[in-house]
Amino acid sequence: MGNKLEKDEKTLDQGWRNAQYLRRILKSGVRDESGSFNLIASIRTFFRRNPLFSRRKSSSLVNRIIWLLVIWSVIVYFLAVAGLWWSSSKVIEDNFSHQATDWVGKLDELGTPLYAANDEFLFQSIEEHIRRFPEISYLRYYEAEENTVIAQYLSQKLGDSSLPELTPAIIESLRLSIDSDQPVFIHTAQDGLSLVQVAAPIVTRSIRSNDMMDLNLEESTSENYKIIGYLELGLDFSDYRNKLIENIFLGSLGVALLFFVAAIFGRFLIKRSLRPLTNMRKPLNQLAKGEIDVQVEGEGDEEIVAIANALNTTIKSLKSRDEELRQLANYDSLTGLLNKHNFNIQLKQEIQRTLVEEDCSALLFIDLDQFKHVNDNLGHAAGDRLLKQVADLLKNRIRTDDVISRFGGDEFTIIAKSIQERDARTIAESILKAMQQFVFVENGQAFNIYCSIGMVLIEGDAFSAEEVFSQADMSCFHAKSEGRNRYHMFDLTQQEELRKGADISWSKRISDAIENDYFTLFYQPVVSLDGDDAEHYEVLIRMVMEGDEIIHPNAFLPAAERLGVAIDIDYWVVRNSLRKISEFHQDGRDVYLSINLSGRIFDAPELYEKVKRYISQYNVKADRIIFEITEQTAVRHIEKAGEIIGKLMTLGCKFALDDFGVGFSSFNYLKRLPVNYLKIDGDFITDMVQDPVDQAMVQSMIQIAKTLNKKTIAEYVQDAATLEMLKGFGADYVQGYYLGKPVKDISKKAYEEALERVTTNVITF
Amino acid sequence: MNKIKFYVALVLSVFVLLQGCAPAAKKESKVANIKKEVVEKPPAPVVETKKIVEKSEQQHVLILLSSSAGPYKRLANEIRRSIGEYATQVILTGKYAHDKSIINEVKSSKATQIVAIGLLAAKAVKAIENKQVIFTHVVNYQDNDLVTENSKGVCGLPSPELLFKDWRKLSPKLTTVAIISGKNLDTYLNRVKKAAKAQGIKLRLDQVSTDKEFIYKSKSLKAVDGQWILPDNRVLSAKALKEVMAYGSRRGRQIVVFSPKLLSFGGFFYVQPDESKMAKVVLQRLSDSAGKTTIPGDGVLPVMSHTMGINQNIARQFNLKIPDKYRKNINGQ
Repeated sequence: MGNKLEKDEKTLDQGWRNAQYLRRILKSGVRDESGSFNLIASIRTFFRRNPLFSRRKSSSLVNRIIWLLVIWSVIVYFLAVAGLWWSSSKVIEDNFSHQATDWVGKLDELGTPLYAANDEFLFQSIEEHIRRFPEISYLRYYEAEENTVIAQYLSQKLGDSSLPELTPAIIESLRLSIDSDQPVFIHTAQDGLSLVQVAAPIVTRSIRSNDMMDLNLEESTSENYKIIGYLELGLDFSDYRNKLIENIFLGSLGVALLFFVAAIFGRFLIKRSLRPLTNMRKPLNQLAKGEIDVQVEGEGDEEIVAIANALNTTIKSLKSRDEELRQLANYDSLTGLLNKHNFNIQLKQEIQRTLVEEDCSALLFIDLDQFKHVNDNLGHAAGDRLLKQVADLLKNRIRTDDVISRFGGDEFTIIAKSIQERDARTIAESILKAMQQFVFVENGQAFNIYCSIGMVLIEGDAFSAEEVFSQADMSCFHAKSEGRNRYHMFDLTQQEELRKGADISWSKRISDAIENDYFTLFYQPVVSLDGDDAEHYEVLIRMVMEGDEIIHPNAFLPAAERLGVAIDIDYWVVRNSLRKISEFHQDGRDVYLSINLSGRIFDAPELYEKVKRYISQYNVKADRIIFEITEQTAVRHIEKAGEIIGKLMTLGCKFALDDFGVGFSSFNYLKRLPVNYLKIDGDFITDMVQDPVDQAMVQSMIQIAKTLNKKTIAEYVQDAATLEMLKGFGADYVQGYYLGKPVKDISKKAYEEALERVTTNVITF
Repeated sequence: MNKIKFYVALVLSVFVLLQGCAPAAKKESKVANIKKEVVEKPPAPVVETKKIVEKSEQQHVLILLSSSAGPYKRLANEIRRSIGEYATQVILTGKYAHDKSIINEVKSSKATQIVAIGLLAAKAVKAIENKQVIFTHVVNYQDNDLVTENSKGVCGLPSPELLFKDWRKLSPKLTTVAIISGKNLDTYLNRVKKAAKAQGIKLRLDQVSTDKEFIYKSKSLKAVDGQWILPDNRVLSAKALKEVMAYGSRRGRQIVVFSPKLLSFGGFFYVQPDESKMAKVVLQRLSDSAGKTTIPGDGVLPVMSHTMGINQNIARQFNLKIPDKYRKNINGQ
C-alpha cells in the first residue's frame, strides 16, 4: 500500500514537474535572433528536455507509456470536442439556412392574402400563426412600389429594439435574385449572431398566353413575372444554439469521462501487460551491479519469456565463466590445489586468526627432490603426472581444515591449522614417510620421489606472511642442503640461513622470468679491425623487473648457476637470439651474434638438438651464430666441451673462448678446443695503455691466437688510445663502450658509427 | 400599367396611320412578300367543308397565328383546308418590330376577314377597321374588349356541359368541383354553373389575380373532391400548376386539366375543344358574316365537341372504373 502511494506521488510529482517545466519554458521562452519569443522552439525544447519524451535520460517505460497514453487521450479528447463543435455548428448552420429558406417559402405563401386584398388586418391571422414559432423574431412585408412596410410582426423577445428596414442596396440585390429559389441572407449564423436575417422578393408569375396551348412543364417555361413586394424575416436561433452548447458541453463531459475511464483502464492494462517486464527490473539492476547470482523470472508474453531466457542463459554462462576464472585465479589447473595467489591470502588470514584466537599453526614448504630429473628425462607430461599424484598424496595427509597449495613448479605448501610444533613435526614425518613409500611409475620405469620440507610455526603477527613464507622456504633449502629427503623446522637463531634465502628469492624470480618472458636481450657491437663491415654483436641478457627496472646478469646468474636454472636461461637466450637473427634478416640485415653459454651447458645433452631445431625453426645461417664459453668452464669440462663444440661446429656454428687469459690455463688445452675466436679478458684491456705488462700479455695472446689461426676479440675498449694500440697489436675485433654500449634496440646506423670510429680514429704514440 | 397601355396604343395608332398614307404599289409588293415568306402550302380540301367554302367564295381570309404552337397551326390548317387558295396564313413571332410590320401588312391586305388564333393575334388585329375578325383560342377576351360588331370569337375553352357529363360518367360519386380562375370569365362561367348543376355537381368558383392567389386559394379549398384548372394564363405559372396539382393529388382531388402534358403531374383527365369542330365553327362564322357589315350572332360561340385523355393511374388511385366508352381515351389516346 505504501509503495503504491509512493508510486502515485511520484507520478503526480512527474506531472507537476512537467507542468512547472512547461510553464518555465513558456515564461522564459526561447528567443530567436531578433529576440522575439518563439513558441514553437520553446515547445520543441520542452519535448527534447522533458524526461518523458527525451530518450537521453532513463525513465520508467511503464510511466512513459502511461503518460503518452494520457497525453494522447487529452489530445484526442480536445480534437474530438473541437470536431464535435465544428460539425455540430456546421450542421446547425446549414439547418438554420434551410429553415430560413423554408420559412421564407411558407411566409411568402401565407402573405398572399395580404397582397391580394391589400388589407393589413389579414395580417393578424398570419401573426397568430407565426407566434407559435418562437424562433421567428420578426417578420415584415413590404410593398414593391414605394418599398414601404405594409405589415410587421415583432416577437416579444425582441421587444422595442429597433431593427433597420431593408436598404435600397438590399432591395436591389433582391430584385436581382428573382430567378433564385434561395432567399438573400442579410446576417447568417456564420456571423456569430443568433439572429439570422433573410429577405426575399415576393413575385407573381404567369405563363405567356402563347405557351398555354403547347404547355410543357418538364422544360423551363418562360413566364412573365412581377415583384409585388418583399419579405424580411428574422429567425432567432439562440435557444437552439444555447441548447447546442449545453448538449456539446454535456457530450464533452461524457467523452471526458469515457477517456478518463479508458485512461484508468488502459493504465491498469499496460501495467498488467508490462508487469513481467517490470519484474525484471530488480534482477537486471542486480546484474548491472555485477551480481550474477540472480534468476530472471520469464512469464507472460513470448517476447518477455524470450528476453528472460536469454538473460538466464547469459547469467548461466557468466556464472560458468566466473567459476572458471575463479578456478583459474585461485586454483592450480594441473592439480586442482590452491595456487600461490590464493595461498598467500589464506596465509595472511591464518596469521590474523592465530593472532586473534591466540592459536598456533604451521606452514610446511615441500619441494620434490627428484622432480627435475623426471621432468628432464621423461618429459613435461610425465612431470605433470607426477605432480598430480604427489598432490593427491599430500591431500590425503592433511586434515579437512588444513590448506594445501601448489606453490609453483614442484613446490607445495601446507597450512596445518591449530597445531603445535610436535604435531607439525609428526605431519612432516608422515609426509616424508608417505613420499618414501611412493613410487612413480612411468614407461615401465619406477622412480622413488622424495621431498624436502621446510617448516615454520605461525604464532600471531610477529612476522608477515612474506617473512613466514621466506622462513619456510629457507628451512626447506636447509633441508635440501642437509641431504634432502628430510624436514627442517625453522629456528629464528639461524640468521645465517637468511642470506641463502636471497638465492631462493632469485630462484623464484628467475623461474617467473623464464615462464613469463621477463628477460630481454641487449646488443653490443663487436667491430672488425680488418675492414670487415659485417654487423656483429654480443648478446647480453637482462632481467626486467616491475617498473621496467633492468637487472644485470651479475645479479641473477650466480644464483641461477647455483640453483641449477642457468641452463634454462641459456636455452632462453639461444632461442631468442636465433629468432632475433631471423628478424634482422627479414629487415635486410646480415648480423652475427655472439651468445654466452653458462657452464651448466655441458650438463645439457639436448643442447645440440635444441640448437639444431632453433636453426631450422628460425631459418638462420648457423655461421652467424658464435657461442661464447668462458675459458674456465671450457677447461673444467674439457672433454665435454670439445665434444659439444665439435658437434655444434658441424652445424656451422662458431665458438669463442671468453675471458681468455684470466685463468692462465695451459695453452695445451687451447689446442684441444676447436674455437674460432679468443676473447681477451677485459682486465687486460682496461688499463692496457698505461700498463706495459698488460700490453705484453695482450700482444702475447694475439700472437698465440694468430699462431693457432684464431681470431682475437678485445673487449672493454673504452677509449681511442686503447683502440689504436689494439690495432697496432694486430687484434682482429674490438668491443667496448668506446665503440658502443649494450642497447636493447640496435640500429644499423649505430653499428656504422662504431665502424667509422674504428676506421677514422688515429692517435700517434 | 394603364400608362404603358396608353403609350403602346398611341404608338400603334401612329404607325397604322403612317402605313395608310403609304403608296399602294408598295403595299401590294409587301403583301406579296409576306405571302412569299410565311404562307405555307395549304392542305388538301376537306369534303365536309365544301359548302362553307363555296359560301365564302370570293372572300380573302387572312389567318393570323399568335405563334407557331402546335394547336394554333393545326387549327389554321383545318381552316385553310376548307378555304384553299383564298387563305393567307401569317404567324407572329412575338418580336415587337417584326410583328408590327406584319400587322401593317395585314391592315393593307385585300383580305376582308381575319381569323386571329390566340390572344396575341386577336389583340394585334383588334384595332383594324373594315375587316371582320374571328378570334379563337382566347380565354380572357373580356379583359381586352375583343368582342365588337366586327370582331367576334369562337370559344377556346371546352364545353362545360360535355365536360361535366363525361366527368360524371367517369366519377359517379363526384360532388363538389372547384374552379379557380382569373377575372372576367363571367359568360363562360355562367355556362359552367349551369352545366355543373345539370350534372348535380356543386360548384365552387373563385376568382384570383395572381398565381400566388391561385396557389393560396387552391390550398385553402375545403371539402372539394374535384378541381378544374382552366387554361387561364393570367393566374397560372409553372410553379403554381405543379404545386397545386401535387397538393390536390395528395388530398384526393380529381384534377381536370387543359393539356395532355399535365396528366403526368397528377391530372385525372384533360379536355380540349375539338380542333376540327372549332375550325367548322370558325368557318361558319366567316361564312355567316361574309359580305355583311357586322358579324352576326353571339360574341363567342361555343364548340360543342372536345377531345379528352384519361390518366389511368389516377383513376386507379380513386378506384374509378373507366367505362368502355372512354377506354379509347385512356392515357391521352
